[in-house]
Amino acid sequence: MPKSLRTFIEDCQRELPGEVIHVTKEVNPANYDVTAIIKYLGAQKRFPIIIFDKPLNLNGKVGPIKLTMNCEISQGKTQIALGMSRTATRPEMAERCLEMEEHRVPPTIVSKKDAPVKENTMVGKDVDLYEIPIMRHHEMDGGPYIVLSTITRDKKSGIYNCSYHRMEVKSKNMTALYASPRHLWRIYRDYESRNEEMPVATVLGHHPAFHMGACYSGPFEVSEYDVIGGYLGEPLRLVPSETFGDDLLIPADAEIVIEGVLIPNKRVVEGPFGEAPGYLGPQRYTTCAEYQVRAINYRNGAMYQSVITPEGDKPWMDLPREGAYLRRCREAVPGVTAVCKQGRHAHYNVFISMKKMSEGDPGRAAAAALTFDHTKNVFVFDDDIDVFNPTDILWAIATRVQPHRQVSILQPLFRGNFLDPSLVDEIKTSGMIVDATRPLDRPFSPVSKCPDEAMARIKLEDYVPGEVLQHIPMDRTTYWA
Amino acid sequence: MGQAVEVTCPTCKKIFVVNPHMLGSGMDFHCPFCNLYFPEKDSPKIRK
Repeated sequence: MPKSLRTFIEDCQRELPGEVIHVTKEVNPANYDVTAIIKYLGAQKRFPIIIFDKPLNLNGKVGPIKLTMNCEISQGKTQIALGMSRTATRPEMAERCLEMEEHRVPPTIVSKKDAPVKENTMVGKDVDLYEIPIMRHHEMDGGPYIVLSTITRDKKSGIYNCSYHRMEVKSKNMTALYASPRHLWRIYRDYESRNEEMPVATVLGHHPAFHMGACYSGPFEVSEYDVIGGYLGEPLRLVPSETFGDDLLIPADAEIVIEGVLIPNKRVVEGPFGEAPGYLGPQRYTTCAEYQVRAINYRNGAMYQSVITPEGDKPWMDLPREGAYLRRCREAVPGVTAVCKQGRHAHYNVFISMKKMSEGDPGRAAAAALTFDHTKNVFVFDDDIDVFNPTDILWAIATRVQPHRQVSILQPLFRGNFLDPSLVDEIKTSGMIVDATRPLDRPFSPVSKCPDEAMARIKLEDYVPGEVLQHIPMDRTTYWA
Repeated sequence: MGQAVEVTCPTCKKIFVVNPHMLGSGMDFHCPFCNLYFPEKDSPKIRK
């Protein structure tokens, strides 16, 4: 059976049975009901996949489309999605992502009758986005928002690009799509230069491996359907779109796919929107295109999928980028062992660990990390520091850094990220490199530790038996241990 | 985005944030609270 959101949820039900729950009571996603439920659970560090069986759609009715949340959160779910060992560490997972991106798998094309997404279609005047239970995510959001992957195709090369773009639902057949100036915007500007409409499709529900492939941040020339195939470990099944036929192929096993066009030379006001860094992204228009919806395809019993940021750890968004950072930093310094850029740092902070071979290695690795759009502050550590552990990070900064020697403030020469609320320029950002590695050119006090011999000789069970140990509460209030 | 500019809606008086490039652009603001579209000159207060 081809991989889909449904096969993923079945896998999670089998391997993590407590992590899939249904909410059978009616909820109104456009009135923040779903946001509140997820915030309450998140405050308890609980991030189950939640299937809302009776969400109100934007017409205010319970329709046939359900709402699914939290598929993107937690390392365990991502290990299941990618078929990895449940004991894989985060750096190992990032390495695996690199392998999957390198072993790309071309897609395959199926007929409409073999494409579940074609079980139902709305076209022309029947198109109604309001039939979908689309959320308002945060207070002050400009409207209901769709936040998953949008697909387009470069007219010259024929390559497919898949990327995340927020879009505000403006009417039953129109959204305002906000694009940062990367690949999709480049393709759109090319269409715009010819005053042509750009065909697009947006996937509102698929297997997490699909969405992880859509986070690929490699060269423009790579067709991202192939990368998604690498993540899935099987060819992505595609079907001709309702509107554009073979000229724009869409995922056959998606839950919902909307199709439409970006109108050339027209900008639309959208926002504010509660964005990934955890702040309201102000209302804007300069890179916001009008997205006219021409068709909606959906499976029987479709599940609309959404994401709330910055709630929880989102490996499906961070891991592909961690892999990309790892690749680039290693090109500069082979001794780089791990790169962390997860969570609320929102890509602005990057933490690198390395086996330092020479003074200057940390600066080279940091410079490589700074070539990515979002990077602002780079912290470099020795490989004994777990860069996924905030306690380790703060300890090393406290004990291995003399600020006047090891902190470098960089002038605002870098293209920053529009979503960074600290920017004082429209787009440019300054930067900081913190070299928290121990020096090689002078003695440095060793880390205190229990001798390895004693750790090997002493068995905790001999002194604190399991039946005693199990009743000792874990101290979850001590964050700084 | 960068800096946020606070705009007060002329109808519901609630405050929302816009990008500085919205100012002087001729594009109407959209109040996320009451759904009103209005020109810059109609806002009773814009805080930069």
